[in-house]
Amino acid sequence: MDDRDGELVIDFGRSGNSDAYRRSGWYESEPRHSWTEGQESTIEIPRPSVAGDYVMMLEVGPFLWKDKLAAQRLTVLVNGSEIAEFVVREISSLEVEVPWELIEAREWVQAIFRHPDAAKPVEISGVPDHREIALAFEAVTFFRKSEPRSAPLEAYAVADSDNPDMLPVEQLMMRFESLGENCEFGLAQRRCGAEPLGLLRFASAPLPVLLAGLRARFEGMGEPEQIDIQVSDNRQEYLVVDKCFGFLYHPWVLVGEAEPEDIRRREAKRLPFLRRKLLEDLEERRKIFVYRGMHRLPQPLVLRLVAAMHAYGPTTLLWVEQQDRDHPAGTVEWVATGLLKGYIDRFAPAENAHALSLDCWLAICRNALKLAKTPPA
Amino acid sequence: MSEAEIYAELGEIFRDVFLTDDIELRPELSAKDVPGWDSFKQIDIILAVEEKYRIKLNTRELDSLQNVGDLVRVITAKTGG
Repeated sequence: MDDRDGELVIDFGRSGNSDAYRRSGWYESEPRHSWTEGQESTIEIPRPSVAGDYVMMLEVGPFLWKDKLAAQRLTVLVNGSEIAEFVVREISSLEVEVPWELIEAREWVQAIFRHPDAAKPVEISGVPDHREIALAFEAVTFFRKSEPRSAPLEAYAVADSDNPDMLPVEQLMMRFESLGENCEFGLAQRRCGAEPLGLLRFASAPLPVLLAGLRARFEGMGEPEQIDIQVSDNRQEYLVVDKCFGFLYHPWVLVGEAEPEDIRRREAKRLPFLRRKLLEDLEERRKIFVYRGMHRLPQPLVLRLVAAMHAYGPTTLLWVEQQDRDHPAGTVEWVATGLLKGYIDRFAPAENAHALSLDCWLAICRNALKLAKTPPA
Repeated sequence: MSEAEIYAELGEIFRDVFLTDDIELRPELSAKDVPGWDSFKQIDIILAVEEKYRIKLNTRELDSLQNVGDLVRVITAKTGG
């Protein structure tokens, strides 16, 4: 994790990266998660190089069955020390504080999850599943605790004199710029006739990758030797991989339409131009940047993104998550200085970003623009 | 450099970018009027303009471009025309 300043996101879905960190006590990954096996599961991650206290967020869902199995107990140990206990009754984000003293002495951080209520569905509910399961892990996120940011509040007001309610959708969507994590928002802009020039508009930009890029001012991105041209899994289109940071994006070129070397030459011109524009946009206050994670993101980690952006200037980030009981779709609120949080009814499915909820994106953008003009006191 | 000269030179750029001779440049021509004029083509146009006129457009100038007339005005201002 040296080059990521301590952030790590482990995706336990089938196409995720958990194989590199899972040790004992896991069943084979399913499309979105991995079930624990038995009463104890272990992961190991490299110790971050930057000293400090860390947070480990667990995105988990419990195996429950009516009154027979109403909750799953969970104890978390890090490097042998018990540091957290939970009773999990629903899909939850669990936050575990990891003090530096506990991890500084070893190259690897070992986390053990004890779940003594693991059970076999066949014995509890009659479902023909003989596995002994307790918790379905979707993601584990590991990151350093954020330092507070202090700047005059008025510096964060977005400079925009238009009434958001009166703006045509094309102009409304031009006020925003996507930072990822996928191309859903970029496609929403396209559906509205807005075609902003954005470095990450059609990129896959997982948060650790984005943070690394921001902190390095995206230096080196677009140099020919840093551009790798690949063919998509379905063999139909080309994909461009940035070897500097790990961004992956669509050049929107089908296989057969151009040679890989032609795409590399083209991208070597475009990327430095788009990098220059993004850096200028980050330094100004005219745009609201948008980020949505492919998984639910813990707020402390998003605050690290805000801090990385504020190294450029007092910009505003609109972080979008799925609606919940307290936040119906379309709601937008200030959750920290320079950070708006919006709630959407649904995200587009990962395999088809075109199937997006456009009306809800528009409602979020209008509400965000209204709020951004007047930061909270 | 006159506006007419800039329009003529931009015409060449547009022909190279869109691979067609069918685009007749006029001030109000915008992306809506030209099939395939998306953000990727816009970048190609801007890169060609920056190279030809040895200028750099900043993000405010880029975001203000609504049509060909806007682009000509920016080029004129930046080249001292």
